[in-house]
Amino acid sequence: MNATPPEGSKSADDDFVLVRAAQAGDADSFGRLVAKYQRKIYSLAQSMTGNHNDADDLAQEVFLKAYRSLGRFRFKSQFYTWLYRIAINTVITRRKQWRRHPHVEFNPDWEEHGVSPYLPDSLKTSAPGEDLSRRESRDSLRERIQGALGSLSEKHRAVVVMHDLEGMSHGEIASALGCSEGTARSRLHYAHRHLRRKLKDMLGEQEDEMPSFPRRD
Amino acid sequence: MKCRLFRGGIEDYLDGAAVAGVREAMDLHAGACLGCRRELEECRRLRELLVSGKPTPPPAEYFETFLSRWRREIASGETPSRRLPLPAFRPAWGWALGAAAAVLVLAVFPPWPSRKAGPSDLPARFMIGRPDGDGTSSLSGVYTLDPAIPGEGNYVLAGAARGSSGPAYW
Repeated sequence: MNATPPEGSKSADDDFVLVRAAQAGDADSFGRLVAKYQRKIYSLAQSMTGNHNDADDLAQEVFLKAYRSLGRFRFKSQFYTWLYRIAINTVITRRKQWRRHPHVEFNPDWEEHGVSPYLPDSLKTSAPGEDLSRRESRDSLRERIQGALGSLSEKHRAVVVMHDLEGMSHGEIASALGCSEGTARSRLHYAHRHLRRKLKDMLGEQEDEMPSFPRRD
Repeated sequence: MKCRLFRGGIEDYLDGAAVAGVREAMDLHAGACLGCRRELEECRRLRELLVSGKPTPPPAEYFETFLSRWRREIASGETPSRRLPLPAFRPAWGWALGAAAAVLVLAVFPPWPSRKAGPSDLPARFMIGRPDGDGTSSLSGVYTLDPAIPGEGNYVLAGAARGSSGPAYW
């Protein structure tokens, strides 16, 4: 993988120490875990929902749920994969609720048309001094991609987000989703095929950019 | 290397998870097969595209408030559950629990007709003092218990006393 979550075995051990302390009633230890993983959980929620407000709401909910359920953590998986599982389940549950009872923050057309129109401008313009046309082009690209991701089922989108955007391995994804590694691979394969069809025009041939491969003589 | 094998290995190749020999074989195949080379490049571009479309993360201040908001929630009474972890659910547990539940249901609601109280087929021998006598003589014989009103648990003692001609009831 090109990127991996910040988990070595030492980091995982550190997590376990903090979890044990939190289980014994030390909220500050869990606060350190929140500080460590808030960006990743927020990023996952943002990629899954496509907008800031829902991502913020979901990320808070994920950490509260994790804190409340800490007694059920059995140290059989990495803490962060357990956290990701809570996050994915929370996103799926909340999106079902939003479909039944749409709320003001959620754009029901998001799945077809791209990111939420309620995304604050400050989050759309990350590069100061960026000219308008460039920003529009980038926003348009992002909307296309978010739209394509939104056309996937939650489970397939979760695999793409975790693998391609969060840099998780197939094994970590399988652990977070509670499925086999083969299932994670198969979902990723299906999702990529679907996305390639959806974004075909953006993946056009660029022969001049093709890497050179050794040729068999 | 066959095209089918190559295409099945593209994800691992791009993840950098393909072992050295396989990677080399894939490089050679991509050099010789235009279709597979395009497939590989399309997969690579898709990944780049997805990363470029990743939503912009909020500024660092957001995460400072995120943590403090979480702390406020916790301070308002949230506590971690102290529940003991449940044993892991295994299929064997499921079968055992299912069988126990089935036995319980059968015991409470048996599908077969419950045995109605009927005349006892067990011989009973009683020594009964004659109610109309002085209590010194006895009647002995073979008696059966018959339900007076079926199902209500009332019985009459039916039997023929020695020396009598027909059944007598008490």
